[in-house]
Amino acid sequence: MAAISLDHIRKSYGAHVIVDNLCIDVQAGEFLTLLGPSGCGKSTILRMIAGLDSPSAGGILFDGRRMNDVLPADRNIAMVFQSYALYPHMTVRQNLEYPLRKRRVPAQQRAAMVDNVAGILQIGPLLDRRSSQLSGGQQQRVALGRAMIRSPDVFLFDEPLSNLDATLRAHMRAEIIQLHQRLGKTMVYVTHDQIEAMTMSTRIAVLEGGKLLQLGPPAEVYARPATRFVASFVGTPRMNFLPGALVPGGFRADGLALEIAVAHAADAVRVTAGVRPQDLLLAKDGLPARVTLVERTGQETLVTTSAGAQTLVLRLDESCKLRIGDEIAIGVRPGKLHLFDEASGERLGNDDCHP
Amino acid sequence: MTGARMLRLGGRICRDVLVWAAIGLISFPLVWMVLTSLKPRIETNGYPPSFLPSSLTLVHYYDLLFRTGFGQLFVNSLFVSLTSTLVAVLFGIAGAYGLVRFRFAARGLMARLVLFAYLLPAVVLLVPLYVIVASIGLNGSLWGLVITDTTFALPFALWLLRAFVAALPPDIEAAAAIDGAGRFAILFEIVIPQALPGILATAVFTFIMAYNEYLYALVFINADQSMTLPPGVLRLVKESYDIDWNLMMAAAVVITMPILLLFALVQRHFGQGLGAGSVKG
Repeated sequence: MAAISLDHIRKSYGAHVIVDNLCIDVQAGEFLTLLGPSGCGKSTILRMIAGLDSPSAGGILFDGRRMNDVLPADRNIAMVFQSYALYPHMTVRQNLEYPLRKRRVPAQQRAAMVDNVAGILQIGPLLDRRSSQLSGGQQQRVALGRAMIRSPDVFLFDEPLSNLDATLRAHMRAEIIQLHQRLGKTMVYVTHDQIEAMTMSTRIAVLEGGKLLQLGPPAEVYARPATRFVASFVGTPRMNFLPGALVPGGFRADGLALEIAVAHAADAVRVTAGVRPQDLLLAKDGLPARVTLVERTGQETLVTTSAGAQTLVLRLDESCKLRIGDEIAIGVRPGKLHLFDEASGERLGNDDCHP
Repeated sequence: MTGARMLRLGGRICRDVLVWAAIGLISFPLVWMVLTSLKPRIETNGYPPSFLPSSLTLVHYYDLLFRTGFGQLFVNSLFVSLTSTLVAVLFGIAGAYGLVRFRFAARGLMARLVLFAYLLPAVVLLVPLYVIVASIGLNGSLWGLVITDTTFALPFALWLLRAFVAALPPDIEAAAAIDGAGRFAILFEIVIPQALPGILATAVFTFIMAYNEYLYALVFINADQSMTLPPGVLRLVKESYDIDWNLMMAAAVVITMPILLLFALVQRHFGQGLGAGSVKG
């Protein structure tokens, strides 16, 4: 178990800046997720923690000890790759043994450790197969086993589940959560999948363009997104956004007969209001809109509507009888409006939401 | 039988006939070579020529191996080819790995220079290489040939191997680095086993290149006991006033053997993607 500090990390190739002045403290035993779209620098950050890439500036510290010049092999980390990165010319057993061999663990002990890990991950019957003969899920298990086998201080995951089908992904997600609970090791997990980030993490770091936008527990990131980008990236279906302005009465949406009283009313400040689909409801004297799409998942109904030039998505329950073309009126659940500065995208106000 | 099925069957027969015709055309000289080497001499020059020999004889092989200097030529050729293949592949794999995985100034330029060196016609380097080899006292020696053959084989091997190494997923090497492998362990335990089909293919091509090399062997070597097969066999055949076709064909068969053997040994590695399935997406 180790605490990791990223201290003003910067990574650039020539003029191309990939990670810019990043500071993150990962606590010992924490499950931290780096969440962001592709190209946001999250994998580069992970590779720098692993020692596969070195930062252009700044320090990487494990328990306060500077690791910049320490080889990956000497950092006592394990990494699980998106591609699994098993050694194709070796059997499963040889794959699991490889890190032990490199650390000169005696053969007898090695065998016991392989059996132990194989038992936990239920890959015992596969041990003598070549890794290239395994299915994706089995390969992922072996990759996990190879990471677990030598009890590293830190586990690094680089989008380990994105090549698996949906069922297997949910299953492996649960296994990784259990692994974290059982081992209590520090884990840093890179993903672009916000469901993975929400369900697995102690804290989430949301990144865009090499910059840290928000760092906090999943519930906080969801309830109080720090920027418009975070708000749009976290949560499915996506949050609705309405351009508008703060006026003395509250928020007024552009071109719509919608005005909502908010505490931070000011004069003529341009803002973007965000409201999640489940915080929109049918109201008698609400905003008139026309239904353009109805999607029923069985337990809920997603209703896409157009109001003026805007598109709003509502999340209603399964008993909803709306059909395409219906005229409805939409209201906003009190206190569920998020306001973002239009120019900077920053969240306005510190409350959970605006009353 | 419907019309469509007949048409399909007809097409297949046509295709098979064409394929067999092509095979026959290509293999005819080889078959002729083998048959001639087994024919009695009297039959070889007869008219009309006979395709199948009336009686088989191994006398030409006996003559070749025990009455001429062919055995020495054969040993010399194998020595030169195997040594230069070994050197070229060994340095080629290390160089290819370096060119693919390390970032350094003018990396791309260096790779292109290697190709350029390979593209130079052999005859352009003949005089400079002769001067170099002579100045270190290796003219007339098989080691001189090893050096010149390697001069051409190494860029070729490097260029081929570079493509094979570049096709390997870098994640696997990153995993090995994290698992505790150093650079050499990664090269020998991770890269080479994965690139083995490519390495074997490169070795075979390099071997054939050195084995067939004629110009340098002709210019550098004068003494009979240091001669390699390509110029040596020519001399063997030209020594007698009229050409001994049976002896020549027997020599051709024996010369072909190592290549055939090599292909037989490594053919299961050709086209077999060892890396298949290790990395997805």
